[in-house]
Parts: sequence; C-alpha cells; structure tokens
Amino acid sequence: MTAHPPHGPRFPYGGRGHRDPVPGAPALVVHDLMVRYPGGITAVRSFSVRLERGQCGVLVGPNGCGKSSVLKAIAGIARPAAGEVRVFGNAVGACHHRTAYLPQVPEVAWAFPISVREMVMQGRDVHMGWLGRPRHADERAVDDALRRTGLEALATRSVDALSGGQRQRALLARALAQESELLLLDEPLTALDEDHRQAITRVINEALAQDAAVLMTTHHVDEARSAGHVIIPMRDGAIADGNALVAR
Amino acid sequence: MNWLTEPLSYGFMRTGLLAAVLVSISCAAVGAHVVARRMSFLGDALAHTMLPGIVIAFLLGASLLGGALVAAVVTVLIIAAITRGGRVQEDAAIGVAFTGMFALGVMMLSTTNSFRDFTHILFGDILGVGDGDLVVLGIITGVVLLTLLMFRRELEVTAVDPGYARSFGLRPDRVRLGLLLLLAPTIVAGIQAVGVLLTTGLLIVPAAGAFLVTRRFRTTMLVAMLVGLGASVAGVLISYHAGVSTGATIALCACVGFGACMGIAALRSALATITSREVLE
Repeated sequence: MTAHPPHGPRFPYGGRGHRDPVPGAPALVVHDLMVRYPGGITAVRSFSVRLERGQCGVLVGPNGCGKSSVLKAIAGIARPAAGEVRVFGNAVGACHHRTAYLPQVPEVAWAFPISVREMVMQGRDVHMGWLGRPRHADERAVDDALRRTGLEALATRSVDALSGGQRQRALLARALAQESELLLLDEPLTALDEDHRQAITRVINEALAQDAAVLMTTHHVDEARSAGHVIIPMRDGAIADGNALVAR
Repeated sequence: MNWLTEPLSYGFMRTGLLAAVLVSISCAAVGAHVVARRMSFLGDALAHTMLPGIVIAFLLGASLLGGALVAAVVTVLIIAAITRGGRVQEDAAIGVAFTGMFALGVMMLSTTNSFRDFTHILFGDILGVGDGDLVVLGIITGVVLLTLLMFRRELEVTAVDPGYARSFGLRPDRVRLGLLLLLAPTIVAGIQAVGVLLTTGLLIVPAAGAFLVTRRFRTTMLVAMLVGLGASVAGVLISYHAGVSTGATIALCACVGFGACMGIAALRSALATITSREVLE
C-alpha cells in the first residue's frame, strides 16, 4: 500500500488524525465482540478473530448469521455492545484512513447524480477532511483504483447507469482509492461474472501482497479457499467452530 | 420591451424582483439537496410548521421571520428526537410534527382575531419587501451558497452512502441536521416570496425538474437555480400585468418550468430510443 503522508488532513473527520500503528500489533484483533441492534436483537455474540498483515479472513455462513454486523462493528458503523476491537493496535476510529469499508450494493443511493470517478474520489475524502480539496495524489489514487478494477472506460458514466457487477467494482475502486491497510469487504464478489470475480480476487491478492489485511464476506467459499484465504464459518452470530489460524 | 421595463420603473417592483431572485437561488440550491435525499415532504412540512412561531412573534411584537426561524429549528429538533433510536420512521415523525405544529399555529391564529395580518405569511408578499428585508435575504442566500459549496463533499458522500461516511468518522446524522438547519432560514426566505402554503414551489419544484434533465449534481443545482430564477422573474412580471397574486404566480411558473423539464427529458428519451433503433438496424 502507498505510504501515507506524515500529516493527515488539517481538519480530520471525527477529530482524529493520522495515528501510527502500534509496533508489532496485528492488523486486526477482535475479542468477544457482541453487536446488538435497537429492539434487543443480538446480531453478533462472543466473536473473536485475529488477522495479521498480508492475511485474508473470509466470513462465511447463512444469511443473517452476523457476517455484515462484524464488519460494521470493525468499521465503526455499528457500536459494539461488548468486547474489544483493535485495528493495528489502536481503538476503532483512532485512525479512520487505515480501514476501508465496502458496503453491500443495495445500501448505496445509486440514484444520486454523480459519475463513477466522483464516487471513487469519495474514497479520498478521509485524506482530505473538512474543507479539503482533491490534490494530485488524490487524482492519482483514483486513476489507479479505476485502472485496477477495469473501470477506466466508465469513469464519466453516471453511477445509476451501471450494471450490478459494475456497481460492485465501483465500490471496490472507492475502497482501493482510500489506500487503507485493512480492507473490510462485504460481499465483494456478488453479482459478478466469473471473469470479474477472478479480476477482483486478483486485486484483493495484490493488496495482500502489499501487506494489507482483508476481512471479507462471501458465498463463493470454494474460490476463497482455493485462493488460500482463511475461512471463518459463522452461525447465529458466532464462529461456528474454532479456527486455529485466526480465532484466538 | 415596455412589457418588461414598465414594472421596473417602480422602486417596490425592483426591490421585489431582486428579493425574488435571491430567494429562488437559495431555495433551489438547498432544494436540490432536499430532493436528492428524498426529503421533499420534510421541506414542505417545515414551511407549515413555522406558523406557530410566526403567531407567537406577532403576539410578542417580535420579528415574524425570527419567530418562523425558531419554529423551524424546534421542528427539526422534535423530528430528530422522535426518530432517535430508530423505532419511528422519519416520514411518520414528520407527519406528527407537521400536524402538531401547524394545528397549534392555526389554533393560536384563531385567538388573534386579525387573520388579515397573516395573509402575507400564508401567501407571500414579495412586493412588500423593504430594504432591510432585502439585506437579510442577501445574507441568507450568501450563507446558504457558501455553506453548500464548503461542505459539498460531505453532503454528497453522506447522501450517497451514509454507512461508508460513518466508517471514516463523518456523522451523517449531524451532516443531515446541519442541512436541516440550513433549510430553516431558506424556507423563511421562501415564505417572504410565496408564503407558507406555496414554499414548495421554490424549494422542491425547480430541483425536481432539474433532476430530470441532468446527470451531475453540480449541474442539477445550477439548472434548479435557473428554473427557480426564471419562475421568479416571470412570476413577478406576469402578476404585475395580470393583477394577480405574485406568490401564486411564481409558484405556478415554477410548475411550468418543471413541465418544461419533463418535456425535455421525454424528448431526449425518445431521441435516444430512435438512435438506438437505427444503430440496431
């Protein structure tokens, strides 16, 4: 991943600046996580996982088993009811630019009139902060993300004119443009044909080779397993069975 | 030409026209964000809920616009309080706040025995704008445009993907609250032109039309402002010559502008269909 500037945005979102990783800390440590939604529904209970740099964990399981809630808690979108999440040794939100989150396609307002390039540029927002404006480095990161996801030719197209697979790639391009070191990808392979699934898997592997860590959800278990990723089976909000590689 | 210049020979017409232009610009700019976020109902409701604030200000002898502003802020806070926790949907909360505040306003209005004093609030009085009001409208328009420009990225990302925005530290609920607080003075300005009952004509209608003919949000805002501006200028001039209500004429002209946008969109769609058919053949 690209080295980050020593100073972050002048007015960072959430009031948090660029904080360095704790030396020797794993990319992600989740310990006894519990996520509860309004109405008392417990989506995640007693979930623990540990990911090192260069490692990809894949959450698999039936719909509603809590996979997306785990990602949302790590991304700082859902507040944990209990447990602890550490990203590069820091608390969630201590350094927003190090974590990039890819939501599921239906969670995005695609009817909003912006181009693919403008959407991918949103991945740079965390580096600009309040009152910031895109600079050459931001433009370069967006160009690079568009190229890696094969969206260069669609850069000026409105996002509402994209197919399901193209939307998936646009969201991945936005996450890549953020140049984060921990990618949280919710169903990144959904709605893609085989060629594009392979292309996206290649992009994920490139990120891993650059020392990033990835935690993703998918229904394509066989492809994830053949790519050498660590499978984390989930059921009823918890890990279905112990996994010596990642769950501690 | 005389049709255009004759009304402008009067000072109150010049002031009124300038006020209408300022109001239409700020309303259309905020309206584009309101429509993009599917908050049109809120925009309309907010205009109605200002009534009790206006009546209280009248009874206290305070600024009516100031009262409207306070009522709008109170409404926004009531809606935020009702929807907090996610148990009540926002449209339901708006319906509750809208009904409660407007009913309170009508009830208070019935105790004043001077309904005539409020007709300009209900239906607008753009030709009654004084120099002081013009300065206030200018400040509101300036603040609205500057704020939308400065926080363009934050407004866009929280509208497109609030979950993603939250993941990097932005608070979409606070950005939305900020937009609502910006909406309050904008509607107050709109009331000056077309009144409580027709503010939607400048806030929602031009933006809704602009969305039909544009593909980039910046262009949408620009077209919305042009439609609103055209409606204001045409409305002021037509109402002068026809001797009809200025606020209602402005609102009606905005609807004509929306119709024109629909026509352009339909024409464009038909042309695209013909072109694609030719390519296939």
